[in-house]
Amino acid sequence: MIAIIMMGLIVYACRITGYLVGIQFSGIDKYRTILEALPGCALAVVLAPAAMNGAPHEIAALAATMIMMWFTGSVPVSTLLGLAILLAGGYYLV
Amino acid sequence: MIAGVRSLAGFGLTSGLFGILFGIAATGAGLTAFQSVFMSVCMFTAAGQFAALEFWQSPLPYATLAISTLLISSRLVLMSVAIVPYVRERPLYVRLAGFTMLMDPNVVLTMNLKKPYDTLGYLFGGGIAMYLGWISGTVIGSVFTNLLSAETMEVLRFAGIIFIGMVMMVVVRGGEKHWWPWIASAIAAVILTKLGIQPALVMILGVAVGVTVVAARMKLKDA
Repeated sequence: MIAIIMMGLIVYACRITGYLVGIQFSGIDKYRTILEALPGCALAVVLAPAAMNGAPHEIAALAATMIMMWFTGSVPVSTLLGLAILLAGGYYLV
Repeated sequence: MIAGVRSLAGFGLTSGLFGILFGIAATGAGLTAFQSVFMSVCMFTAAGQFAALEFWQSPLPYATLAISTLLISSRLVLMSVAIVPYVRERPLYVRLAGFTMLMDPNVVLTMNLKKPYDTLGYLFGGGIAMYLGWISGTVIGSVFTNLLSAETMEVLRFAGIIFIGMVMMVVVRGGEKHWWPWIASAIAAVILTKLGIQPALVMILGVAVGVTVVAARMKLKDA
């Protein structure tokens, strides 16, 4: 229980640290372009190596999810498509 | 806040699915149903929680758990700094309370907001939608532990990346497009991973490369 509370506090600290540091800089609005790019950079850093190391059906599932999301913007539909390909590929193609 | 709940209801459903996977995995790793749900209530971060299961043994390696949680949650630091110009209108303690629900999708959607919403309320509401899904899913997975076989769980280990891919598409679909920094970060991450660099360092260096590209483009525009 102590370990879980400790980990919860660490995660919350991560959630507020960037903000608390950021609001100390009065001119941070000047760097809005950089801040806008940050989430995409952080996600790309996680995605790219995982995609490179994925099995063909995993890459197909990821690509299908992203394409479906691009065209429909529907999270449930995209998730279900991705998971369906992942499961089908995992069981039958490998 | 209601607008946030509505906008992220889809992500809430998806969080529910991942919550089920976590509940099953946590019980398999030796946590009781109560501990699994308590972990989801306290942490609300899929990646950090799944990683913690890898080290869940007796006696508990507290330092390892702390370090792994810190490194895996480092992305949240970036998300929280990115949202600074968008969330300013409430007292600090209210903002900090709202940040308990900070996750990638609600940060990205809050940054993409075009209408004059209450941004903190939107961020919090979106997080609540995902939180409820995550907790409900964990409860279901912890109680119905035989819902999915071990083989299916193994097949679904890539599901987290699919979720990240979906969030990336939310970034791509809305707001400003920063193709070059994103591509630069991705290429840097692939190269660094191939070189055997630790994932936490890959995160820092990969994002640093992306930020450098944005800064360079800003300088070129100003010149």
